[in-house]
Amino acid sequence: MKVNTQHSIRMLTLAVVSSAFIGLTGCATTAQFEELQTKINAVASDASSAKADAAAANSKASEALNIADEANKRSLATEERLGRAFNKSMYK
Amino acid sequence: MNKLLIIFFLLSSNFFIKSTYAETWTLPPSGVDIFGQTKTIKVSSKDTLLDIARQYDIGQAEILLANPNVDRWLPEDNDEVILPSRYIIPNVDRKGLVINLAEMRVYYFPETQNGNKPVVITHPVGIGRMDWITPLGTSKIIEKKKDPTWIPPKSLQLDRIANGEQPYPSIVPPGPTNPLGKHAMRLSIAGGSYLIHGTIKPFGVGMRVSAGCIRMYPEDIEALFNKIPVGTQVRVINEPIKLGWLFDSLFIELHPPLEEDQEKYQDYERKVIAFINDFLASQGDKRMQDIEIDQEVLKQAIHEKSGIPVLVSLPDIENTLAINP
Repeated sequence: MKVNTQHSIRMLTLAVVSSAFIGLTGCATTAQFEELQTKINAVASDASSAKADAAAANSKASEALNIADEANKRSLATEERLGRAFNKSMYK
Repeated sequence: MNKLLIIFFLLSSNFFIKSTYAETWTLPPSGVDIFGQTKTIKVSSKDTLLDIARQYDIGQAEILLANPNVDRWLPEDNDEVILPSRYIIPNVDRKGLVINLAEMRVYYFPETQNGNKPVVITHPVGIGRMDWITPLGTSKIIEKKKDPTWIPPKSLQLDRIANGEQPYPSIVPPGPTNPLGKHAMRLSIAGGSYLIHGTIKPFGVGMRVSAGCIRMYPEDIEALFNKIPVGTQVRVINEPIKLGWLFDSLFIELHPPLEEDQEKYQDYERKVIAFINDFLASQGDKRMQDIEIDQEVLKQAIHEKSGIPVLVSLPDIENTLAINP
């Protein structure tokens, strides 16, 4: 009987400690989650902003590339024109 | 062993030069089809590749092909420029004048005088432009004329009128406006209407600019004019692919085909391979079996078509081992 009583007390104590611990853990997770959510939102916002910046940079790089490509084409065309004019000037 | 011979030949070929920029070379011995020397020089931005080409007796197309990354009009100070002055002798009789249209170059094999070593003389030439090509075949020099008078051909006059240009006078007397320059040699081909002549536009040498005549730098035609007798054989060929031996090593020299031959040479690589096979077959079975082509080097040479002879055969390991066990 004494053994059974001691066993019951031990079980009860374990149950109270466990539930307190679980409760404590549950409270802490919620707070951290909210903080984490805030951080995630901030990071997402930063990422979105960075993405927009990257897209703008990409667009500018693409534009610069097009300009360079156009300049290169014009340079080659000028070289071709110059070459042809030179060739023709050498005709008899 | 082969490598040593090649290195020796390439170094000793310097001594074949009579002067710094000479165009007269001792004819190489039997078993060697290559002469001359490729050099690299540093240039000044004050020069154009055109000036450099003339200074070293090289044609305009030749110097551009050998230096695709150098600006023709504005080289930078200390740019390195390759002077492509090594040649494979065209695979025809070494007699009289041989003009290869594809490489825009003339080779002259003078009769050997008593006791003298045989020589070969070479110069760049300008040739007929598209649709005005110099006729191929064998002819001879039938007339030499100093300070020639020029009668412009009707076809050229019509061409100028069609292009909205003023036609030439019907007769152009000798002088600074005469496109023939100071020397002309008439070929027997096509009723004598083609000439080898000088020019008042020297930068057109090594280009396709004439109405079918062969144009030379004034200093070159003057030197040649005094050496070539009337009756000299003239052979006009059109060979963008040349092969030649340096002892047991095979070299290839590739030039772009003329514009009107583009279709014929559309598959240039196949043409080259067929040409090599035919060439080796004509040399006998032993050479055909002994020679192994370095495919990577050949591909690069085909891609570049630099006009510079390139070693394309792999070393003969068996023979090398036999000599150096």
